[in-house]
Amino acid sequence: MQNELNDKHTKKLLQKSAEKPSKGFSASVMERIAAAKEGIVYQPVFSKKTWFLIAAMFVGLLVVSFVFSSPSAEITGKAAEIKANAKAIIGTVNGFFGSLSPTVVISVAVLGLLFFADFFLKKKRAA
Amino acid sequence: MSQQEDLYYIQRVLNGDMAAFEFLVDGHQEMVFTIALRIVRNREDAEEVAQDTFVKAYQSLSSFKQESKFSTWLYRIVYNTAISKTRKKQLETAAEDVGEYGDHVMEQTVSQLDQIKMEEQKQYISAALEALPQEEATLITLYYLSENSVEEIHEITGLSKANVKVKLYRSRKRLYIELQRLLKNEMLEIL
Repeated sequence: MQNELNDKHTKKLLQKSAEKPSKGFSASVMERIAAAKEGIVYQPVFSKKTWFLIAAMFVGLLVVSFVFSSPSAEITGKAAEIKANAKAIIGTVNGFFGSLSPTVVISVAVLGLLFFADFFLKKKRAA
Repeated sequence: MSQQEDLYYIQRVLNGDMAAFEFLVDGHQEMVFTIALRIVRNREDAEEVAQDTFVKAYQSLSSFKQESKFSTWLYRIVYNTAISKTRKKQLETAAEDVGEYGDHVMEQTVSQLDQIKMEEQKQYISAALEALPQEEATLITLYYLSENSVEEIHEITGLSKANVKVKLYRSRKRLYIELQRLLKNEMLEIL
């Protein structure tokens, strides 16, 4: 069977079946090897600590909206005092933003969001 | 690329000359890519498998013991990487016998192919190889194109030597039958 397998016809045929990868193949391989050698590790954009902070802010927002949607009669003592103070602060903020046009407010909010995102996106670092 | 050249560049890489690895990539990329393509059957995936193979080879080059040829060691990596890519434990294979045929069929096929343009010949051979089960296409590529011995194919694929021989014999038969079918269809289209 071994002799039978060693036929020149099939060899001749198969020599024509070699395939070539794309042109930049070697360069891509070397790039990947260099990257692996440098050990570049990409960290997640948001760290665990940041996610906890976001979650805490969300929970805080829920609590505040719950407190302000409750009728005043149900809240007494210290809680009522906190509520009154919070209302005063919100009133001041509302007064300030109320004097600005909606375009300015939206622009400031968007810019703030962009600075915030930029700060976290820059956290990618080489390990 | 000769075995001696391989060993020379391997030594340079092991001595810290990373750029020397590019010579090994250049020398083996065609066969590595061809083997990957025979298994995954898609150029994009084959390119990814071939790249992964070279990265893995670079990272574990110090474990290459030089007991076998560098190409055999490299083909074992590409074979295993490609199989993992197909997410199958075993390659698709055909068990049924393909019937008898004589040497005249081979000669006739080769002479028929010789009468057409080189580019078309290549297309017919590629189409016939694609029609074969993955394992058979890979085995005949390793044996007839890369010129690996039965012993080396046993090392690369993990199949027993007897099994490699039987499968090679059957694959070769099936390749000619497939080529004959394709050439007959071509003749019918011309007529």
